Amino acid sequence: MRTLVYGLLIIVLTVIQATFSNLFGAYTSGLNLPLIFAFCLSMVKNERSGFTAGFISGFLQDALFGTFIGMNTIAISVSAYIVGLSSKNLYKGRAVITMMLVFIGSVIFKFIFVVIALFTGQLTSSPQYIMSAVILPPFANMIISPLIYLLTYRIEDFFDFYFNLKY
Amino acid sequence: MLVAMISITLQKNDVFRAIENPILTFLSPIQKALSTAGFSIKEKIEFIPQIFQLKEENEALKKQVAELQRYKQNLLEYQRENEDLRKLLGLKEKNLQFDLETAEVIGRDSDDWFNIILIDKGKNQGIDKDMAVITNDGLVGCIISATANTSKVMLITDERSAVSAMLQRTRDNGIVRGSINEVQKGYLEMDFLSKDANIAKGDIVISSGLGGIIPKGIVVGEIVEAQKESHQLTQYAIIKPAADLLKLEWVFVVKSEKGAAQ
Repeated sequence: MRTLVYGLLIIVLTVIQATFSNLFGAYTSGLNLPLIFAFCLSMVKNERSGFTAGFISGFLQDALFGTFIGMNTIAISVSAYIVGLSSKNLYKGRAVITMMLVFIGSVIFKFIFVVIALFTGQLTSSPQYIMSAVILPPFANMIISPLIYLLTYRIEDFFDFYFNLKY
Repeated sequence: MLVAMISITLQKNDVFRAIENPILTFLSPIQKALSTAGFSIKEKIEFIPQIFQLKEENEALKKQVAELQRYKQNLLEYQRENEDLRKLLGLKEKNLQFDLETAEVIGRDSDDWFNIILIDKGKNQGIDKDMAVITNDGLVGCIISATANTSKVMLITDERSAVSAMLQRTRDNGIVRGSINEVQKGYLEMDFLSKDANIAKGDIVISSGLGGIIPKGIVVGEIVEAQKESHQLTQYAIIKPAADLLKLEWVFVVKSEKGAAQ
């Protein structure tokens, strides 16, 4: 049940993201809802769940907008795994911690993305341009992250209450 | 496993198609419905502040109509004169007409560098890879893949895009590329312009048709800045795209070019 809901949520976030990027292109530049969700799931549950969510959302993004499978799939799943691992022993109740982790995770995501893009010949620009684009978009993800974290937390809470608790 | 996945789908296009097709087929109707609803809401919201400007705009448009009527008369006159001169020279007029397919934009990649949009027409409507995509204002990009009812369009602002183009005024040739430079975001770069090329701000850039994908004569954009390369052998220019690539709702796919002889 949980897997099904998360799977559907990833699809919904991917579709919303694609539509919103088209409607409000200039204002949503760099914002990646499925990526933030994978990070939040990594923080709320564990790194394996984040990796799986990242894998599915990256796979969908590659199929929808890519020219081959792997660039987003690897970058999102690996960065979500790293976020999950690094936040294991952190108290994540404060929004600022979530924002910080999402920012760092987004930078890691962009970095892995760039490495794959350069390696596969998809990017040819000079490094200084690439680095500026690696740093700026994560700010957009950081700002929206507390909302997605709250959503993920509530869903987890709901499932724990109705399905996991034994009386 | 992940690296193998990249390697296989990068080299074998049909494997990628086999994965891409069902996902696009499943998601595109949802995407289309959401996009249509989103656009209609956006239009309504945007209309409210416009009401106050409408009166002013109406007056300005009336003046413009009068002016355009005068231009139209002049143009008809020039056209007749042109036809007469062509007949005199024995030239065969090549009246290029495009076979266009209208398509709605239903999705967009959120990435900063790879500018890809999804449109709601595909192979069933006669659309295929390497067809040019335009709007009323100018060039948008070209089709990079098509499924039965959807197609992916790589915008000219994409880092991977390269279009053969020329300056309309001087006929100097160059290559127009997308740029990921934050300063020039949304703008294009025209490289390989001859060092002697006479480039002026406001010059119109059109496609030269040399690449074989984009037909000749489609407006690409307007020069905003020109500079010499550091090695002084060539020049490059910054171009503002003619089409508003951030607000694409409807586009036209150039299915074929019909050459109608006079």
